[in-house]
Amino acid sequence: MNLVTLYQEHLGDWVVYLLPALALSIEIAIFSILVAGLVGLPIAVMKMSRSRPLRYAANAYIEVLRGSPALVQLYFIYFGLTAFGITLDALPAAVITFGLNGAAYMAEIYRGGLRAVDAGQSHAAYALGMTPVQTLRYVLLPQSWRVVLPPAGSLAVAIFKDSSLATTIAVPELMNQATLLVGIWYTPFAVFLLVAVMYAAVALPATIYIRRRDRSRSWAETA
Amino acid sequence: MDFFGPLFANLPVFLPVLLRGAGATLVLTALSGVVSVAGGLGLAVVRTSRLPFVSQIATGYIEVIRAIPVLASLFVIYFGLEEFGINLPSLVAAVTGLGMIGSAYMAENLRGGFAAIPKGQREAAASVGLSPTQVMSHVLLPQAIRVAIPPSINYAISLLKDTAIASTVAAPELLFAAKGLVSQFILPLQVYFLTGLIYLAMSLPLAMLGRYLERRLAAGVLQ
Repeated sequence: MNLVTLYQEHLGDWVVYLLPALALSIEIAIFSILVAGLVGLPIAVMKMSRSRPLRYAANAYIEVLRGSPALVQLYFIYFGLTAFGITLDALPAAVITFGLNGAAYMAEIYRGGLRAVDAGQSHAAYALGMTPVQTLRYVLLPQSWRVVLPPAGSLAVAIFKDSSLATTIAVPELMNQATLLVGIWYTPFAVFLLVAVMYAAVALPATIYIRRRDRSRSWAETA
Repeated sequence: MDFFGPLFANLPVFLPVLLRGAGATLVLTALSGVVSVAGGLGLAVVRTSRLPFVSQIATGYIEVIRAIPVLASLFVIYFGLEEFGINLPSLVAAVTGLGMIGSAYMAENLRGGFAAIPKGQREAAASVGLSPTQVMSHVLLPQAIRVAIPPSINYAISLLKDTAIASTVAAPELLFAAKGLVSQFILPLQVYFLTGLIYLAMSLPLAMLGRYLERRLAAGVLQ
């Protein structure tokens, strides 16, 4: 069937059908980057700590999570953990997987951000009697945002694209709903091409926005 | 819950199957890598073209293809092209998809390489009478490739991990072999744990090589 006539007939219906699924994909990315941001920070601090066991533990986390495919981690958490009696629903399993996977990348991003802050800053904070946690919270973190936010934004976009993997465990996100449409219409090329365009329609502007903000350095003022 | 009992009891069965899968993963990575390097070189050279539209088309391709999830690209190629009577074997579809995406990332790495070369070199080369092709092949590319090597090793690692996504189009690689074992033995925890380890065993040496080369090559690069 001709692609043009196919789109003329169905494009509107398909997009309407797929938009909620796209919204879910974006939600998965947002919740996952939040988990990654929360879990990644203590790992970054551990990696920068003076205690060798803590450093090794952080290193092991980062290397293992970054060294194996997210899809394997997803199967491990969704199918594997059932052996421990932990049966997660597909959606939380996906968010946990992408969040924990992203935390390994976030840890390195935080580390880069914290290292960019002059060492004299933490010395001064300690001299004022601030605890390490206070120093991190009030002195180091606020100054590191400028360095942290652009790569964290890129990571969020990468997670958004990876969220398509969640279709393999039947999370009703964009890719998954697309396969349902294909099952109805038997038009895989038209539907999957549309879906690819929809992913790009979100990921590309986001990437360009992040790049501009990064270049203009205006994140220093907003953060 | 006994984790290691079933793992060690079935190891003689699991390991040969998974290692054969790992071999296929390496072949898939290597083939996609070759396509990526060739395509990336082509794109990077086309991008420096001064003809109208030509460099914009290359840039557009590079930006858009990187905004699309690997899974979506593979589905368009594997399931989509079937609609037009093009029945690609899953391995060919995977190499095509991963190679198309990899070309965009490699071109971007090379652009970083070109950007590191002072403009005077191109002018000097032209002024001693080298043709534009000679300037490219004898002056610019050799230096650009050197700068592009560390990020390209990093890309090789993500390519290795992305080959796992090819299991969704039934490419007979490591994760596909693992899924087969899981459906046969119903031991997802042990199988996916082992699978993750094998991916690690392949990606960690690459990561170490990348870090080594980064230090080595950083020393001699024009600043």
